[in-house]
Amino acid sequence: MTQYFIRRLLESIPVLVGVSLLVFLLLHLIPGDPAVALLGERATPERIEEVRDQLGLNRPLYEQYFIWIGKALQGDFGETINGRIPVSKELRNRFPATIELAVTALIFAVVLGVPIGIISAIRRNSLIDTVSMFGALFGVSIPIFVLGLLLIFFVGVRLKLLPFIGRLDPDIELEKITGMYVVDSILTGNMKALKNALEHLVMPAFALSTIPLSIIARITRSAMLEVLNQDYIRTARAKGLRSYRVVMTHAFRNAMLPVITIIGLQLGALLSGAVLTETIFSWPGIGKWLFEAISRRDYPIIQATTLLIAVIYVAVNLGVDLLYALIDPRIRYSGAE
Amino acid sequence: MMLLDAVHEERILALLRRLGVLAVVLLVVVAALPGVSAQEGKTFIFGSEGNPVNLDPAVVTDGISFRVARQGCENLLEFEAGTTNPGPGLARSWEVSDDGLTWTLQLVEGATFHDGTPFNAEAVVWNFDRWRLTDHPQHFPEAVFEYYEAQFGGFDDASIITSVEATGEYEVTINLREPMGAFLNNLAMDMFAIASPAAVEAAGPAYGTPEVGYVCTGPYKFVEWVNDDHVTLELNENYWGEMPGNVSTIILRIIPDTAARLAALQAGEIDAYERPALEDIDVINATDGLRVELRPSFNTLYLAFNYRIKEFRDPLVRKAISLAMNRQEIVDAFYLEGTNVANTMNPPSIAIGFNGDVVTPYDPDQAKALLAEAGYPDGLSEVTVLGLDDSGNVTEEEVEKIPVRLYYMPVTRPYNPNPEAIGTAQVSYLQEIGIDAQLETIGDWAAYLDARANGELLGLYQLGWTGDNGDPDNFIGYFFTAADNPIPREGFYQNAEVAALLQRARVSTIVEERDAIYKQVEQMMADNADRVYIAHGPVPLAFRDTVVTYIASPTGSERFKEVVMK
Amino acid sequence: MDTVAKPVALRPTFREMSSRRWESAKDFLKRLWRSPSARLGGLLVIITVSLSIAVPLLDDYDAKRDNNLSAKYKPPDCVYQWIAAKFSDTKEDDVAWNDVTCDYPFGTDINGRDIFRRVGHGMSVSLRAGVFSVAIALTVGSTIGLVAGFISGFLDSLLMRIMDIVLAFPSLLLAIALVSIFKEGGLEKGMFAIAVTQIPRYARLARSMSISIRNQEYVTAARSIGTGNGSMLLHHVLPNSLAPLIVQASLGLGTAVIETAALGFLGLGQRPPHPELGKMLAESQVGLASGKWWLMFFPGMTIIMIVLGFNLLGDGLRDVMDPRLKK
Repeated sequence: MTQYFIRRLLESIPVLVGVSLLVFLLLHLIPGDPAVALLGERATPERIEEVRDQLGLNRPLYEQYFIWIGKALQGDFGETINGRIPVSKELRNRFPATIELAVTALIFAVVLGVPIGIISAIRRNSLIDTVSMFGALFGVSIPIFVLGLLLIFFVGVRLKLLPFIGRLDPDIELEKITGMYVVDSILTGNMKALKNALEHLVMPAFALSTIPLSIIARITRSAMLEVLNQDYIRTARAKGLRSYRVVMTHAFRNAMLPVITIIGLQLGALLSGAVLTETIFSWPGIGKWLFEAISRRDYPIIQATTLLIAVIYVAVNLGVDLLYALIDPRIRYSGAE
Repeated sequence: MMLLDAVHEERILALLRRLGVLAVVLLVVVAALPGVSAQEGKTFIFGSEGNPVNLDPAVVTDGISFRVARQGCENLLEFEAGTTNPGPGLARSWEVSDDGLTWTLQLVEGATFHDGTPFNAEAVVWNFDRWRLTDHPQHFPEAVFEYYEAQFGGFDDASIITSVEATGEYEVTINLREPMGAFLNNLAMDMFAIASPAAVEAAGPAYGTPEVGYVCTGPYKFVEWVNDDHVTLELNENYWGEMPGNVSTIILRIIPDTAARLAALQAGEIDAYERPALEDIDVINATDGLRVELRPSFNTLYLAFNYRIKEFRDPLVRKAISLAMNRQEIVDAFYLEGTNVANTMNPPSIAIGFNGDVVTPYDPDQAKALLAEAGYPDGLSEVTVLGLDDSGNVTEEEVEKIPVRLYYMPVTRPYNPNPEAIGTAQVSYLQEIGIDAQLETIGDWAAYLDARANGELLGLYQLGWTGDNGDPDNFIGYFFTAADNPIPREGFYQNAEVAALLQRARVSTIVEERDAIYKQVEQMMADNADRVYIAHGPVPLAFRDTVVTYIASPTGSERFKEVVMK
Repeated sequence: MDTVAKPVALRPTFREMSSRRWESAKDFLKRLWRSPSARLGGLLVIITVSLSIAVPLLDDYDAKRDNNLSAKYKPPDCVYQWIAAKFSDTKEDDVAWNDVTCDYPFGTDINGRDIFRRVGHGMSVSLRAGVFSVAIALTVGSTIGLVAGFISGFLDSLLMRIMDIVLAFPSLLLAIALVSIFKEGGLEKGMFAIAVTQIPRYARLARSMSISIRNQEYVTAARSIGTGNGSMLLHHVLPNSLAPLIVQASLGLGTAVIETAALGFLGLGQRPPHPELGKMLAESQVGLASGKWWLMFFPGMTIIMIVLGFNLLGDGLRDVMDPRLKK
């Protein structure tokens, strides 16, 4: 196990290096001189040169890369061009917002998706199965921004059931510990804030969860079906074991393998979707920040957030692989293929 | 003591006549209300369309930053609520020498900055020196003091202000190189608010960022600024001045999306916001407890030519484009009632310098004829970019052929409620006369302004202006006074005659003379179709009925200390 | 399993091949017809694709001239007007069938443009963008995958690590970043960016197919009689990898259409005033509060129809063609 762990860890290093290189190079391809962006249009050529020097933009590209990555590893991503705020500080505010949104969406997806998948598999070809599988297909076919707009205007504007702007009403006080408001309000025992934060979270998280929810439901269903068709399950059933026990003890555990993989893979979809969801629901997270930073060429923000997202993505996939190996011993002994 | 000379008195009267009516009405309403005081501690939540850039008003140019900074930072002179009429602020009174070159201002006593340091003549001198002198330690090289340069002719030796002295504990003397017609109006502009010298020195370039905010003398102290979320300001218990309103906490919630701002108003999450979409105005007015009020029109939307395009240097082509624009249709479709079709830069509501005789009709047939006369009977789909020499002059050299481009603004502004839809209409009008233009934009607002400032919007481009101080020097004068050389910011516009006239109007203190000069310039520029003007529109503001009084100002510089809430 | 690994002869003759293919194609279509999701999906795909081809051919649309401010924000007339009148309580609203006009079946937008027309052309644009980006991704991705899997060794590891790197970015974020690199161009940038983000899926799939086929007996046999790598890839590996790639492409089309629309929604797609569904949705937001539902409804439903069609069809294809992919 340790050996497998180390090998997977080593394998992800070149990916991470490649990711950081790609982020770095992408930024150098984006048109516009960062020094000019920093100084504004009235800067003199001498002053621009000076700042280019300060930023290290006159050094060879590889040197710039090493300087940047060296600082990034220490958590120093420089200052934003617009407003001159340290990127790392702003990230500390925004990252928890995105994580809170994405994790809640994932929880929705799992809590709803897995049971739907299981029921559909057990009641195969029933009405429930047909409806939920068509629903799942519909779920992956409806764009987040269509669903988000519909939710805002029916649930938020017409029915006035839920708030849909930001994370917390401005008049509610909350001591920030983790930056995830739901967690913070639980930690500080602030029930008013908890209720308010949850209300703000429901709609964006639901909009964001539809795609993973649909995928998880489908994968669970087909994984369950496959397991239910295995000989040992049939044997168990033939032996007269009560069917729910069969389902729960044998089938479910084995069916969870592909489901876990897919949950890990959904993180990327969630972070992509976060850009749209955060824009529609005015959610102050990194997805929206990144999108805005790109349109105004605020390159330290772009570098920091894309790198962070990619690193998380790689780390989650690594974690999923390891979890997989932990559950299914066959994997760690097999070859790379 | 001569508080105001005849020139100013007359101008102010004119301003009051034209712009102040609404304000007077509102003031009467306020006076009629039962007595309210700040002690009641109301929270006023305003929906902001974006993040402030920086809360040091001296170094920014965007309205969102000014809106926040204005609540806490005060000027020597302040516009009387709802007008562009400069009245007492941190200066109680003022007088000017007969040659118009020396101003002496008496300051209020007993005011302190939010950091506890005293407000006095030294602090005022320090602020002026900081704006004016590029070698001042707090004239941060990374900051751009754009407005000072624009309003006072430049920095250091180029500045019209030659020196500022503390001639007493609470007396400041300002010496000018030449007389200045709009001097008092200038002093009342948001960017010339007096900051605490100690605080700026302590914070360095971080002054104005979310870490520090602003440190001034005004009624509200800076509390917190969380990007993309909110800015919070709190009542300054030691405020020296009067508090007409009853708001003790101001929260500016940042909601970039127009639809989301409306929804927030409907849900009661905000009390007010600026510029509801035209589509939503009827919805708001039809909803119980919500209403729309209009800020009087004091702006202009225009379509500018970039004079590096060879074809646009031909007045016939420019006239053809101007005649092709169906201004009335645009105004009817995209603006509120009470909007004027624009034929000139200065709007009708300006005190002096509006030339009502200039009228540009909509005449596509004549436009086609002019285009043919200019040598383009089959229309235009490609244009020629000319070169630039080292000193920034446009040369004869033909650099490249590019498609005709019409740039629309990436954001809505008070003068442009729907850039893309208006751009779409404009492109179709151009098609009508055979000009095949592409609709384009550039990144976000800052990038667009950057490109414009560098003259990089190579084609036709939308932009507009809201007057900051009521004077034409800050309207048409802002754009073309430097036109003796090509101005990249104005699409390399160059016209020495216009520049000389505008300069004369700037340094004149005789109202009639100034009025005549501005009218003459408008006529000259219209004859050559130097720029295409589209509309002057009032700006809608949306409120919940929690807001009883909100005095809208033509320049958009409302002070929330005037706000009265239920 | 028949479509995947059936070949028995080393070099079947052309006639044998084509008759066998025809047989299996007939069989395949028969089984496809039995799948309800493939039937519905196929129908939707046929409708959307044929409309997308027909609309630009039949209707010469010049977006730059399309502006009719006097008809701004007209609600849908046509059938909708009639239905709405039937359900209305007041007598005045009642419209006789003969009086129903059909100027704006989907209503008009802020510039008074006919949404019916713009949705038609926008659908064509979205679909074309989707097809192009999937075609690029499919070609590049499967070439990379087939070659990597067949040759293996250093090149394989290198290519696959590059794919891992691309996969390390959420696709929409990478597409946004790629789009912002280029100053010029509208829709083409988006198509290219979406293609890049989709390449790894095809590469991985093709590689796994390639590896499994490489180890089949008939391939080993072919190699032993001296068939070259190129010929082997072309004659054995590629045909046998097609099924899963086609399934993936059908599903990928849905994703590509959504992502094109997402870029359009964020203002990074088709340049205005040219119609594009995502852009139309972004513009529709301003009218929702005042009840202008048609601005959003028709473009939104069109996207859903297109994507649902491809997803259903892909799903049906998967069930029929390659049961193994159900995992």
